[in-house]
Amino acid sequence: MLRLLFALAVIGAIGALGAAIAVPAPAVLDAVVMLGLAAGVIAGTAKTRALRRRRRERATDRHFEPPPVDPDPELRDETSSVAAAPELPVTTEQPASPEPSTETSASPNVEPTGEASGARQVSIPPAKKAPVVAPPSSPADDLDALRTWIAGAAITLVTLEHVWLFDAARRTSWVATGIVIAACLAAAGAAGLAARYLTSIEVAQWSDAPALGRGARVTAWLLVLAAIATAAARLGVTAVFWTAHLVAAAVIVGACIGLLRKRIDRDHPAFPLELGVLAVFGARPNMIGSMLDAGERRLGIDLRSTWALTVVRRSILPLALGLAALGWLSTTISIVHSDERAFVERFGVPIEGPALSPGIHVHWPWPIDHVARIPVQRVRSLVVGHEGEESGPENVLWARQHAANEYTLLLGNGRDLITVDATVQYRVVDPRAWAYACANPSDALRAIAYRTVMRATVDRTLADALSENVATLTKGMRETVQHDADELGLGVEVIDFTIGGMHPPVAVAASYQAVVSAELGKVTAVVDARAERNRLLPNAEAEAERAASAASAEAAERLARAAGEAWSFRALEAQYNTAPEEYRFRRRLETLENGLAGRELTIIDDRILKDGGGLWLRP
Amino acid sequence: MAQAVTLTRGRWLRFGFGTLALAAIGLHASAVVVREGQAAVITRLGDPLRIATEPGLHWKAPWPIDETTYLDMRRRIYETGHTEMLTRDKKNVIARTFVVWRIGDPLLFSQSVGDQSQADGKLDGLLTNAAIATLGGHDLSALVSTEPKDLQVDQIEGELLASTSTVALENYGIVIDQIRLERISLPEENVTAVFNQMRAERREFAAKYQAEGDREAKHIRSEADLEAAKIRAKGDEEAARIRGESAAEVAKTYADAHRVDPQLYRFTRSLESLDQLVTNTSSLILRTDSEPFSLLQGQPAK
Repeated sequence: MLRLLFALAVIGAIGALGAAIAVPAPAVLDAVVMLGLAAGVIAGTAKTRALRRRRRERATDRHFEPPPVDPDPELRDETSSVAAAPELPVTTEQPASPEPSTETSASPNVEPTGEASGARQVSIPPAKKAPVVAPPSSPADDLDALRTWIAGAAITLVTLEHVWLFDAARRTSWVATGIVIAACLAAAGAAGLAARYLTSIEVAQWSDAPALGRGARVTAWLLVLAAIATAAARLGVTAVFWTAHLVAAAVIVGACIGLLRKRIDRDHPAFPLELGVLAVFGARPNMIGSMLDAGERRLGIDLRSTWALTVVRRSILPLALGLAALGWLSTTISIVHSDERAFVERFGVPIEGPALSPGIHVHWPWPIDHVARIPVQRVRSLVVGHEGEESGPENVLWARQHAANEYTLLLGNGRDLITVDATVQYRVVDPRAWAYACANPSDALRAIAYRTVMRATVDRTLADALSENVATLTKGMRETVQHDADELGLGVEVIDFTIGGMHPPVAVAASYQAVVSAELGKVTAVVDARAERNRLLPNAEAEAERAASAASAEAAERLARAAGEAWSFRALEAQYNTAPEEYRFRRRLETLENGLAGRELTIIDDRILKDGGGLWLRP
Repeated sequence: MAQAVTLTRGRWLRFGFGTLALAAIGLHASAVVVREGQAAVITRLGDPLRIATEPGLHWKAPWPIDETTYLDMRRRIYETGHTEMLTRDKKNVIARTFVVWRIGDPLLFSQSVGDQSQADGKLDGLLTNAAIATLGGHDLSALVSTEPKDLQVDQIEGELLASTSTVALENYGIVIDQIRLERISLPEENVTAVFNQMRAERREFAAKYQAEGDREAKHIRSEADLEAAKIRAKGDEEAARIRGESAAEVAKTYADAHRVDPQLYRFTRSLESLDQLVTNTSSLILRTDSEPFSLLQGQPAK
């Protein structure tokens, strides 16, 4: 029987390990650890039993005493001679009966067998060895080591689980998840079955059975938890599967601590099975009942009969019903906000009459009436050309990319492209038409607006488009959009069609601006030349004037001089006429005096020449 | 006794609630609410039973016998993707169309198309095909032209509608109300070339304007130079005239004065000249028979 359980636990652990690899749920790994722990405990129990049997055999060999009671059903099967003689402490411990606290719970279970074998051991020391009081310690030490090792390993594994990276976002297929859930539930069923079987065994026959049964129950619950956690992981409810993991880990750690705290008595070797956690959770098939039992044992209060709990239990149904009814009745009231209009659909048929105005309206509850609310007053706008990603007022500059994807259109000459940005502003005026005429009315309006822009550009050249009067253009476009929208019966009023920008594509805008610059440059050059001319001509005029006036001045001066000289000549003449000879003589001599004074003179006697003489002059 | 009564009442209450809940579930399972703009295809065990197109309350057998599929019967706009195509005159253009459609045959639609998103795919294929075929039969000038008589956008739209509406209705149960061209542009590769061409054109203009500016400026400058020269010449001429006139007047003045006594004039002028001509460096040889050197011979000259 124990071998079967052991095999089941080991197979379960291996299977669960596979499942844990397939499905990312920590609770499944907890199940692995729990099953491993179970396998270890079962192995320990088996070892204890073997040890006991050996001792008992030794005892019978030596003393020929009647074979002691062995509470192992398998052993009883093998040696059918063994009578089921229940010992007193054991009989007191029934699975359903309230158990003592954890600290003391170990002794009643261990003591009976231990007492029996221990008593024999004290009286008869082991044979082969020296006659020491203490029996050869190896089997009990082995057991102790096994206990420590199992508990340590389990705690380590539970801790290590957190190192394992759980990719909660990883979604496994429903098939794998389903298989894992089914396997977990099947394993839980098997564990439950084992628990049932173990608890059905009389304590007298096998004293470990109730404790093992409790362990099996807790294992079953943990496997159910693993199944729930797996489903939660698939559904993406991380809170559930982390909670499941925490609960499972707490149970395992609790069991391990229980295991570690119980030192194995060398004289009465027995594998500790009465672990506190198992007693709390696994004492009864109903886990909540078991927990309430444990609470009652510990605290001395019967939680079941608490008044508060009773009230809650009784009122939970009416409360839930009342809340549901209230929720349903709240569907009879609708609030229409100030910017909305609404109309009621009764079984899908819109009720005739004016649309519901803002305020509170009462109507039939769901599913009879349904209120459709349409924001009517709000002016909506849609963008044609570029969808402005950046928030805030946008700078529409030709040469700067102002939208990720520019909206270019082919122009009438079939060669040029133009970029257009426009905004259409509209308002819903007929909410029924808006709701029923078209499934995606705003898309429809956008498409219409795009088409209108396209129609406005296909017959124009770039020059036309750039020089177009924007006011008349947008007016025409607004009318076209309104007309097309009415044709589809959208029930909207197009308030405005504004052109935010109509310009050559960004890539060539610089060239266009260069042309404008060149045009300006032309004007600049002409103006510069004119300026130079304006500087040159007055200069020349001034020069001419100066020349003329200089000449005039010169002439005046000469004339004046001439006049002066003329006057002085006339004065001279008057002087001369009075005594011409004297005047001439005086003037002549004056001149000679002036001219010859201090001069080197050569004076020649005129007679030299008269007499025919000559004179040679050497300079 | 009281215990028994409350128990019975509780039981009745529970029974009543249970019945109510069951009735509600039953009603909900067998009622079909068709909203305005909707149609419901009711199938019995997979076989289409009837189609509820009128808005309001309709009935069916509860699930799993009868099942309902709701269809949106309202008009719907579908915008195709940008499709590159070739016109008759072998020009690549990118066109985008939008189609206004609605379900005309709910049963056929639900069987052959299924749901709305599938319809979009079907329409896209249909429209792309039709657009390529139709635009291939027209020149680019039918789409974009500065001549209004060349433009045939409305006609092209009509052709598109004619070529798709029958197929859509017969195959998919879709009624196509409108097909409209939404955008006409050029493929990315051509756009680069177009941009280059536009830039070249602009450069040409820029160069023209620059040259014109230069020319005009030079013209103005040379004119100004000429004018200035003329003005200066005029000034010089004036000056020369003034000078000439003054010289004449001077000469006349002198002449008038000297004509009174030419001998005296000659005499004084000679003296002045002598004064001017005989400088410090000139050496003179004089005879004693002229005044005042005649004194050197002991007798004054006659």
